[in-house]
Amino acid sequence: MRIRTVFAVTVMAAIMPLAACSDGSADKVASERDSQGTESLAQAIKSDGDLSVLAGAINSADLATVFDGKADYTMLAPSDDAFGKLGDAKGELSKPEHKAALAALLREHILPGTITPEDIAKSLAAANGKSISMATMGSGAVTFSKQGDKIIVTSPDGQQASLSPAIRARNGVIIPVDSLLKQWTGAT
Amino acid sequence: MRSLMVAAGIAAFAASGAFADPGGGKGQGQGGGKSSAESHIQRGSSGKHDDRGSGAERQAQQRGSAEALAQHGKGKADHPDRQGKGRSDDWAENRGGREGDNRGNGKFVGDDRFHPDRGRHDFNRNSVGRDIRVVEGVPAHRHVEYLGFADGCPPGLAKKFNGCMPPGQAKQRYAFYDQPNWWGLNDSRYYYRDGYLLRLGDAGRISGFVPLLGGALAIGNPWPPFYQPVALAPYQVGYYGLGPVNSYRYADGVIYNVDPATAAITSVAALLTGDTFRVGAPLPMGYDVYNVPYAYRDRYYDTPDAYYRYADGYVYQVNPETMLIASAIQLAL
Repeated sequence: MRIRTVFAVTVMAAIMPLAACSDGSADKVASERDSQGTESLAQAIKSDGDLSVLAGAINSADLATVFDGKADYTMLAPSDDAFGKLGDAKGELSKPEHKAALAALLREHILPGTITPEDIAKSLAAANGKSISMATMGSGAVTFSKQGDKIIVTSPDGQQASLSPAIRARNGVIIPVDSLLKQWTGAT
Repeated sequence: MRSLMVAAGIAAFAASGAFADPGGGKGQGQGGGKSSAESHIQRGSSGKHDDRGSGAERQAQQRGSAEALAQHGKGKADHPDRQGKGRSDDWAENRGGREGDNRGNGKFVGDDRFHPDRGRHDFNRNSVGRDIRVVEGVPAHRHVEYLGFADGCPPGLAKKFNGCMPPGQAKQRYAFYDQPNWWGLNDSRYYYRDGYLLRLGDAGRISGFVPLLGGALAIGNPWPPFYQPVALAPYQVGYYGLGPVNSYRYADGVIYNVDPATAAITSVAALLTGDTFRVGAPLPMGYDVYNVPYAYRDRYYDTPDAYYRYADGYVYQVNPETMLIASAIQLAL
């Protein structure tokens, strides 16, 4: 895995108890600390060894230029393991006949602006245990909640994923997630 | 977050001419609020949040002829149901006020959703060299008006879809995303087919359609002639790095670059939330989390007196007590 570009020291201090430690890898997070964020979102996703399927999906869905553009986005980025949960249906992602559905799938993972796990944690704290919601570039909003020391994101159709340490990019942020946030059961 | 708009015919931005950035002050309303009060400029690094609590009132054009008063500062909003409530409660209440859910309507009232990008258009350069301005209104990107074709389907689709008759048994081919709810629609008349969401009319014929990103609107495809070009505001053109008006198109929350000569889609330029933001109106649902881009976080950060949220190229200042949008801030071009 390449060195992930995450947040400044003060930010990480707040993230670690919530997200970074969720996988029991505080040392890993510390080693990934970098505050430059010089790559575009597209470049950062492409160069991350755990997001190779997502990188291919973004290209297949014609969205690479969006993540190389000027506007800021937050990508709730399904890891390769997340795509692996699809089983045989994973192979359908790259088929041209599913391209529109793939684009719709990805849009449900894209949020406007830059949202860090710390930002989410702050909003959750202010909400006093209630879930909070964030608009997506898809058809609905995701909600965030806490389960123990983890931050969980839930999609409109009930898919859930936990957040991993974020990767800062020039034009936004990437937050890897361990499951897809939209149902993809495979063609019948 | 967007709401799919289904074209029952020709889709065109309502009042597309209003997307021009007039800088004039049309529709400034009545009872004052003109001139300097309608556009607040933040100056330099020392000017952080200096637009809060001023008590200045701004007139914001709301829903056609209606005028809404955007009030700044604590305790001045005329929304008693929001006063004194905690943040989370306010957010929850706002969820009921979401706009733009016009799915399935053959006719969409567009004029009253649009706010000309007006104001003084002053530019100031702060210590880090960013040009910003606060504007009164923000174009509602996705609000389109659908004209004609109350029943039937648009030219070009009749041949593709067997004279606009339902595809029949082929409908089950992609069962898992054929259904409308997968696409965020709650109308059972819709289904996916060949890069479109199609709507069945009362007579069993295709009566509406949505060409989809990656489907009918994939790179290399010609832009559908039934989707007329739209002119985004100059600010948006600059923000998203777009070219002349004939080099981009917009549909369903997506800005596409097209070849001006052939109108073939060459790339996807940007995704938009499609949410409607109006100065003086409640913040749309789904903005519970601070999301200002890194480059502007030193200037626009949440305080007890003001929240800041980003969407579609603008940062919105929000009154934490009322959750009303106090101002819309354009970012550097």
